[in-house]
Amino acid sequence: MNHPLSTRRPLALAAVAVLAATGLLAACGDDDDAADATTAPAASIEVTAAWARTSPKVAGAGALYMAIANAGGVDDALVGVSVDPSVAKMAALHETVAVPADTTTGTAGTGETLMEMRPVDRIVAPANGSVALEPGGYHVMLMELAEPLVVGNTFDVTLSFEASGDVQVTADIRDTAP
Amino acid sequence: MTNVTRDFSPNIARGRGQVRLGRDAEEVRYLAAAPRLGRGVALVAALLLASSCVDDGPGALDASALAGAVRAPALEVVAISLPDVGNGGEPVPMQAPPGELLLVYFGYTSCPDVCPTTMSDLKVALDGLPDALASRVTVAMTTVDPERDTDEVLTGYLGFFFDDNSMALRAANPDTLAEAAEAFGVTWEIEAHSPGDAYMVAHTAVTYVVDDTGTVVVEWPFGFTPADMTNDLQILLTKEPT
Repeated sequence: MNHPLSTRRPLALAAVAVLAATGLLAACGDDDDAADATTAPAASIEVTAAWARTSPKVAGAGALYMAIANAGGVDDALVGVSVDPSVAKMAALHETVAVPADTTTGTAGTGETLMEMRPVDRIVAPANGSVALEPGGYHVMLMELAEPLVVGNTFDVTLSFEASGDVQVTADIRDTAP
Repeated sequence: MTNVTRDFSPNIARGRGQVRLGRDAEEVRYLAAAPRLGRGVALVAALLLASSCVDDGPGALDASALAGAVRAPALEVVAISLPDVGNGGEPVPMQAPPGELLLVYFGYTSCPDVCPTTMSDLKVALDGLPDALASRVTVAMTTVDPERDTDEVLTGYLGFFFDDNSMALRAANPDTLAEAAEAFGVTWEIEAHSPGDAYMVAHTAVTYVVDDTGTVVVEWPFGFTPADMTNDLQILLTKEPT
């Protein structure tokens, strides 16, 4: 699997996960059929409602949202994301957080709240639970969009999960949340 | 109250819970930040208060019906003017035309999540109004990132979300922007960066609803639902002139 746009950390984590999985398989004495190695609790990831907001021609950035459900008995985590360069040059996991304005150096409005974006390493999908990527929270930031995101179009996304590996989804481009 | 068509997500609720509009001892009634049940209780309490101590004669604005934050004393922004770069850079006062409303937001176009979400929500809110009312509302976005948001970029951005009823405000003079931000109580922080590199901007993400006297009559924090915005606009646009 080619990960031209992933960061190093997700690759490293994926490598660790692969090694761990290999070790488990070897220990079970069943190293020729991965599908049989499912007796231990495993993460079971399903991604739905992947969508990106339409973007103005002039905007270089966009955001991708989705719902991630984990029906398995162990936690999993989204650790990487990539899209084709024909969509955006880079994709990264981000979180929008509300933080108090710096009351000592803020330009004005002490006590106000700022909306700030932060990169995140992993977004946990808890065992038998779910996590949402949605406006104002976790999202995939698409940087340096190649083309405006046009409503009605779709694009493919590769999500890398710590335990479940790569998951391919198709994102709808929409004006508003589905 | 209108129907709430979109529930608040945990993420948004968390962000909203931290929104603080009050400055020092100023009183802010902020019903929308409360959880739904708490909000209902607060609303009932506010209505009781309003009925017991306010003479709300015919046509008077019943501020308790507004879903957004009402600041007391209200912010007065009429003294502030910002260049409308979609109209030759002519300075426009922060005051709606008679009988109309001006929605003022401070943001930047490289913002992937918060700003397009807000612009999209405003569009949905305006679409929820009868045309005759929606035509009396102008959306003005002021860039806090004039380095990247050139006149063309900002004008194109607003034009994408709104047709004619929008203004692209960009102050080339940092002092002009700072003065405007202070009047609204807006703060922003630009991430340190080398020229040409991408960077992020943290910023106040409140939409300020300004009336024809240059008074901020209600404020909508990030995550406010379009349905609640439509509710507030409907109330403000249909009240009798005082």
